Amino acid sequence: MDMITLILNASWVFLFAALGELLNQRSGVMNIGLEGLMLAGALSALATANITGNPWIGVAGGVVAACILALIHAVLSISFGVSQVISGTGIWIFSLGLTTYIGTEFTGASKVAMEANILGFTPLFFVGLALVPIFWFVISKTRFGLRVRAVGENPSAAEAMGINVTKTRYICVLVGGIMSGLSGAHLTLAHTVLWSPGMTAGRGWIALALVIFSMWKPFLLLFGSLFFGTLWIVGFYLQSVIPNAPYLILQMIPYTATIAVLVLISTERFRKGVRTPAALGKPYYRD
Amino acid sequence: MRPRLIRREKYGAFDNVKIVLISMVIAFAILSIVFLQANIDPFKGFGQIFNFAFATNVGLFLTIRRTVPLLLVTLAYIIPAKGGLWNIGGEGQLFMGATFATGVAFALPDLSPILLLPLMAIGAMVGGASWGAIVGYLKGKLNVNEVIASLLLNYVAIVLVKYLTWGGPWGDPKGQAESGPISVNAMLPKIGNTGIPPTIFFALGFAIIIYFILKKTSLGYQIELYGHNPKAANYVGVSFLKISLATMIIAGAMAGFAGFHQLSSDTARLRADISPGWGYYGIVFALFANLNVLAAIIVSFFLTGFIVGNTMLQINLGMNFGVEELFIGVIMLCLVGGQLLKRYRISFKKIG
Amino acid sequence: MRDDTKQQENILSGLKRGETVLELRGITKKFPGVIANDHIDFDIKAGEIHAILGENGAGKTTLMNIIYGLLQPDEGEIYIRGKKVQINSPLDSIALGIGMVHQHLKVIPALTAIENILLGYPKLGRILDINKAKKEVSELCKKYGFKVDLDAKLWQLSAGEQQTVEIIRALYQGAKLLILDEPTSVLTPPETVKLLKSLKAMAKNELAVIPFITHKLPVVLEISDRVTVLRNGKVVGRLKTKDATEKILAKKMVGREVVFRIKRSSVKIGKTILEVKGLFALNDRGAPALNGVSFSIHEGEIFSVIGVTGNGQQELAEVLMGLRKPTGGSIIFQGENVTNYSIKKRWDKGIGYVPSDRVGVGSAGELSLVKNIAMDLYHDSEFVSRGIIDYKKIKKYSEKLISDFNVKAPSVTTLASHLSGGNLQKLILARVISRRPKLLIADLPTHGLDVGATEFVQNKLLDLKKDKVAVLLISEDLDEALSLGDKIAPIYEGKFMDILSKKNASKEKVGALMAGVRRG
Repeated sequence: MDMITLILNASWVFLFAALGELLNQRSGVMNIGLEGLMLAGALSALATANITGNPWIGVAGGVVAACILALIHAVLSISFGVSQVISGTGIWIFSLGLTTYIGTEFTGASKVAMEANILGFTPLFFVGLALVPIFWFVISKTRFGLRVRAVGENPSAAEAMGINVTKTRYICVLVGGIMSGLSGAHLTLAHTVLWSPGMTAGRGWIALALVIFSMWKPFLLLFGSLFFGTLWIVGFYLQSVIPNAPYLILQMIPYTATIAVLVLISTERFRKGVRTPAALGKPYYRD
Repeated sequence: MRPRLIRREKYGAFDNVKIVLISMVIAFAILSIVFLQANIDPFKGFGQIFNFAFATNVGLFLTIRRTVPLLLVTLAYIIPAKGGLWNIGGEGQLFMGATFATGVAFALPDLSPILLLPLMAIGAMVGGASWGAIVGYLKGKLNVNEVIASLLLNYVAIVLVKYLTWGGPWGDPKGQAESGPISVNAMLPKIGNTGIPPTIFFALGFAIIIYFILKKTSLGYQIELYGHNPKAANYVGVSFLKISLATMIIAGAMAGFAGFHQLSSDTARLRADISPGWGYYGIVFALFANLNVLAAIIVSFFLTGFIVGNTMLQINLGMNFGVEELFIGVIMLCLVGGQLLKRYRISFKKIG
Repeated sequence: MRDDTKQQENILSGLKRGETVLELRGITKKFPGVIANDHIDFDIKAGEIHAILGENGAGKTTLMNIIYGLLQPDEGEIYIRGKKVQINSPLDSIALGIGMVHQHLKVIPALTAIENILLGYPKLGRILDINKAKKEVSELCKKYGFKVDLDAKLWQLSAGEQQTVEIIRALYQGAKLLILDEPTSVLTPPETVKLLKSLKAMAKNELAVIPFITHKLPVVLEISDRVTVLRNGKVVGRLKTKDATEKILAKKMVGREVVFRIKRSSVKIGKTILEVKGLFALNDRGAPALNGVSFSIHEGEIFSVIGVTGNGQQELAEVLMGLRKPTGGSIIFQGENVTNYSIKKRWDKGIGYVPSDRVGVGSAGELSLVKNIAMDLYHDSEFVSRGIIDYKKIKKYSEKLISDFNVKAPSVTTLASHLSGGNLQKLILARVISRRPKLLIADLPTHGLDVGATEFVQNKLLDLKKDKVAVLLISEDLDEALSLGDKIAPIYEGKFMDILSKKNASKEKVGALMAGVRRG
């Protein structure tokens, strides 16, 4: 049972962040700084929780921190047309540095954590689970979701139809920020209840890969996060049990699988079934 | 008289210098706050940084030495960028370069350095180039998003290195998270007491060669044409696949060589932290240099100096752990933020 | 944003057959150097299809944009149902019940048809009730005879179906007056028939439709109740369609002004340079653009393809140059089958192409003139040795070229984007011609140029005859095609209606053929 709890919790680190990024990307904005947002959320959640003694205020703290960074990304790449890749990279490096520096005080186990009081999982876990169908519903069944999809495909046509592209994208990026914050909070207050510099250890990049691997579909993303989460945990488990085992090859699978998916969806045949949001990564200039 | 941001009409090279200066000023302002918060006089703090990096022998030599990989990864971003491609994969290409070089070193440990080192260098460049070629091919043939592809390949490369070193086939028998040491023959000699290996000349040489290629050759012309107007390039028969592959291969070779340098002059072992994210710094440096190869030499030297100087902050000034990373992070963010000035300028005119 | 127009929202509801829906009085719009609309009067009644016919440049687009609110007239008034209105933006016209279907469809390919129809609809609820919407839209479709799979993704639909989706969207969002911009340009003949049926059904339901049409005379006669002909910004005729014939309309469109200049060419036509057999090709949307084109061009001959843009000319040029793959047919150049050759190989073999899109394809605006001229030279052994380009030589060559072709620019290092249209065209022409191609494909070479530049380009093309070059000239200008061409081929819906020799070609004849009039 322990292993399963571990795997599920590990998967949720990916799930939260990737869901947010999924919405982001559907509207055409890529956030390469995801790793940085998660780090900021993680540290802020832990710090706020320890200072206030309340894990839920900690979660709020994590969300706020991640949102601030997300806002910077939004302002730079949406309003000022800075390339999304550049903006994301800068934010990631900044967050890495900032969290490493500020985090020295908090390094080590957290004195405050979320209680895993529902079937061995924290309430936040179930929030995450619920968010999957919610995201799916919002994207495919609401007016807002329709706008998001239009904006991510053809922003100028969407604008011509009266949709405010900028506003829509800002909302999506901020939601992405909230979700990254939740991911970080889950990481430091539920999963591995400690802080160490750079502790996301590349999981933000895996989350990014996960969005593409899931072809921007929330339910596939749930499956994908479980898949990647399993690989992540099993890898470490194998290490402790069988030293010198090529367990790390398992860690490569999220990336290689995603590359395979990426290539697949770029081929003619597949393009009929699945498409990358056409405007992804391209800044939209009104003038 | 409120300052406002207004859309720019045009943007020239000199404006870029202004952008660089504004970004640095803002960065320094923020860093001053950090200094003050740690009860350190900012001037003293900056003085420490620059003094160490450029005025002391130890620091200057270290700066020059570190400029090698940083200049190379900057070039690795610039070359495909000229052709309109975003190579985010410098980091992975560096790792593959280091890996291939290690492979050669382990295969021929007793070969004389005069032969072994060039072989390692070539191996490294082949390793990096092939990593870049994967992206170049996918983009050229299938129009796969090169940003995502190169990003993912970075992590494949890093995990590959982890696999090889953490208790893997090349792992150190003592169980450290690194490979066993490469033989003495595989280590680069240093110039006098400076600790600077001859790779500095290669790095500068590569930069000049690339400058030459881009400016004077038919290939460079095709790259430039494609980068400016892909439709026009296609119309006169330039092959997209060729441009994709050529630029990514050259870029990969550059980053690969950086990996060789790190291995043979710094770490002496293959490790998963052989580059602390320099591939990404290269992107920001390249922007800072406005994608100009010659400017990149100067930019990478100075920014590397700054990064080197940061190492003194913890030791000499007793600042907290992580201050290096923080300072680098602030600079990077300010450089990135300054990019908005490419499209907008600050105007102090009254709103009419 | 919508509140202040609520009163106007109901202005077009409850229309009765015969009521005047829209009236334009004295609409005038001037642009620097040209009067696009010159005191145009127009009216359309409920239940009527009133076509506006005219060549490119006759003022149709301007008028259309004025009705839709993208432009405001300098003089004149607009009346909706007798009430004077100001249409300051598309939002106003939509609120008034005017809907527009653009020639370049504004749809989102990855979304389904029903999603596209709902997009931007102000009355759309927060949560989408797709089923309810589908029901409502299906009823609409039944009413007007539209057949569209609402759940299909838009990229899966043909151009005609996509257009139907746009029409449905306009109707669903309340349009009572529908403006159609070149509605048949993307349609195959059977799709055109379907559209006509739907338009008639709309007219039966008291809607008003204005199709803006260029040159498709058979369609105009089929579809409209009345037709207004524009020429040079003025209304030159307004007829009840039952009183009109193709001949009458063609005459009105083309006018009876001074006929073309005849240039005596004493050049002998030589051997066959290009032979094209049964060429078929699709356009970017996947619809047929070339439907079996066969012809040949000889040394010293100018072969003029004349037609309204969008009938396959661009695709023809692209296929010949290798920028587009044909779906059938062959291209024989100087005896060699080049159908599958790469673009580069065709340049090397001696085919040259001056594209119609000067800025987007023919030049690199951010590069200097030298670098633009190098576009043809980067693989020429005269200027490149061992991979290194001799820029000094190219610079000298450029200077000569620029003076020979009278390109007005401060220096050869000026950026191409700083050149005027005429000078840019001369530059591109210079670049291509100086490579001494054996076949030159010139696509709309004088489009948008002033008189001086036009004459220069036309004379250069004539000079090529002396050099025994075969020229394929794609033109929209009847006068140009007739005066320059040794052979004239009017193109319509991807086919040559005929290939006439200069002797047998008259302005009226060719004008009619261009517009789809079959012989006899």
